[in-house]
Amino acid sequence: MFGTDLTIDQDILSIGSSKHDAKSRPIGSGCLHAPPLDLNPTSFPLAPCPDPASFTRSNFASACGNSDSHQQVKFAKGTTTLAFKFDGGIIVSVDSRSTMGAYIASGTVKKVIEINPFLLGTMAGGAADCSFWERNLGMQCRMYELRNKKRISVASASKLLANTMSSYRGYGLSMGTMITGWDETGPQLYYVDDDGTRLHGRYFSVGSGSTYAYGVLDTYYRPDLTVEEAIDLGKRAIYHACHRDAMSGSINNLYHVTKDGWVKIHAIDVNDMHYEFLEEKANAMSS
Amino acid sequence: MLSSASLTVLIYSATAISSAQKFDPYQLNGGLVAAVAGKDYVLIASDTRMTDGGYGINSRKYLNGRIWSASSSSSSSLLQSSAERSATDESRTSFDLMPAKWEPDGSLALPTRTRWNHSSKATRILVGEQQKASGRSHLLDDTSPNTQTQLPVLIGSAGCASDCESLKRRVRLELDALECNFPTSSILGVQSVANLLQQVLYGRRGLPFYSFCVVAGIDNRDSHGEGAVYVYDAIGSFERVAVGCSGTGRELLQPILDRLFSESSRGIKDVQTILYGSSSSGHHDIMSIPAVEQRHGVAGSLRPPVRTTVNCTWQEAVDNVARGFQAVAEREISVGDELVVCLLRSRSDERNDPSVDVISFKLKKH
Repeated sequence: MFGTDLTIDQDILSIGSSKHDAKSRPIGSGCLHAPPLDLNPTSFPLAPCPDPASFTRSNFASACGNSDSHQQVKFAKGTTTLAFKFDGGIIVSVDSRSTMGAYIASGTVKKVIEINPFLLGTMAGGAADCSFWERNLGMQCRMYELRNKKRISVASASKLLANTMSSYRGYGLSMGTMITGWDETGPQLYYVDDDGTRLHGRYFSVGSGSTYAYGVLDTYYRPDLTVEEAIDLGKRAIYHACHRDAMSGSINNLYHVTKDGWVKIHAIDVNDMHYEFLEEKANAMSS
Repeated sequence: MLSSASLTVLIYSATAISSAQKFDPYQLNGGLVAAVAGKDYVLIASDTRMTDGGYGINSRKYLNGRIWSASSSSSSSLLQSSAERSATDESRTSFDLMPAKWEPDGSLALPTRTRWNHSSKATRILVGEQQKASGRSHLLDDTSPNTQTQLPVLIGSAGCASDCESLKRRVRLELDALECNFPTSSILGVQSVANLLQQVLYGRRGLPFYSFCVVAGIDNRDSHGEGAVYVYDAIGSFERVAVGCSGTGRELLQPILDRLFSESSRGIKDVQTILYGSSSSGHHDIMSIPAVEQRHGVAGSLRPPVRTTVNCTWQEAVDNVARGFQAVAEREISVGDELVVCLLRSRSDERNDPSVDVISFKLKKH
């Protein structure tokens, strides 16, 4: 079992499930933990100064926009993500750019996190915060499955993440995420952010380019869209956001969630899309 | 008297507060690390200059916290350098390969040098010719790859030197403890080391390690001996890439390397074709994988929509990296002195055995 295939999350699942266990096994015990499940904020080492929360918040926050421009340490961030429910399921569409200040840190970030075959999470805000806590959520969802012999509902999964976020509230974490999936109650979509806010809705868009994406969604969204129309809407909304928001761009990844789980529909370079739409516009003008 | 005492107390407490608010534990000691993953090799490179956070230079031979092995020292010492193994190998390649030596704390020892390497156009042509020659000999004695000896996973870190040092100790401590607890298990694969590093870095979310890392190793899990490179931010967000770099001057080096490697991946020399593409759609990212070639599915994790290895030979890769560093050293004050490249090959030219070699280049000294 412990070959080269040994991964750390296997280790976490098999050993450290209780807080006591976590405390009695300090650094170097060979079972490195995610902060324990009952989430005591002091389990992270903090800055040795009078108000560590505000120290972290003012020096290592990584909120959307350019609010960390004064900071010495900049983290990877900047995004447009959107998801909407319609009669044919759920469409999740995201860009793939990550920026550190004005520098494009990566153009190939996976902003849709596949929590399990029926659950997807999107990431906006701090890349490390999102990927760490959604991976942690994946572990909690798997634990639920093992304990209860059934898949976790989207409502409970999003609640687990919201609980995590509210326990770290005020520490400058930055995360705006949508948890979507298909459970016994049908397609579900929740928005969860670093304040602990958790909203249930038909469509959401998160990130620096979200206002542009909302403009397209508000205009063209109908619940009775066909699957093709819905895919096209998801694609266009991301395209318009990437065109106007310099911090979004690169590749558009689009997923479709049905009762059989999620399927990845496409990954298109937004720049290619630009010329496609330009041609379309020219044709419409001439006819 | 009383008022002056209370005033002193007031001043004292005021300075205490202001000094607490100014708590600033970080220093940017410079350093630039880069890594490239190929089909049967991976290389990691670092310069050796350490600055004091400003214009001063603390050291010109600093490598201790820059490149280190994330595998226990026992396993990596078993490996041979191809230079050590055969004298003919050295004469065949244009680079002066030296055996990799490790410090007791797992970091790469600075090579003691005899002859400097040069990267130039002339070298490139030479490399191409030798490649044909070595390709033929490779066909003659083609034995199955030996996977008994495991190559170490290397981590390169740059940023605050003291944080890099303590990060090194933390990661190696975790790995040693893991080996103690599960003595039968072999050393961790590169993907597991990448996950471990994320956990260690994020564990200090409240007071981050000011250390920007790349991880390089040979992936033996599903791809046989392919190189794997992961690049990180300070709090553990990471991604698998073909060419990655981090540290001071990363903004300068990354576009240079992207350009050099996309050119050699396709063999296009015409600038017009690269800039404007052959199709009418304009720009196209050479390293991106089209959606039709990506896996569609409901289970398992999808691979990133980007190529995770480069297509060129290790000689070309070393040359590209050296040229990139030389260019950056011309324009970035905290990069310079010497470039150390550590090369891991899952199948080296001579015997199909894995090997670890070190190549060093001169950079600007001033």
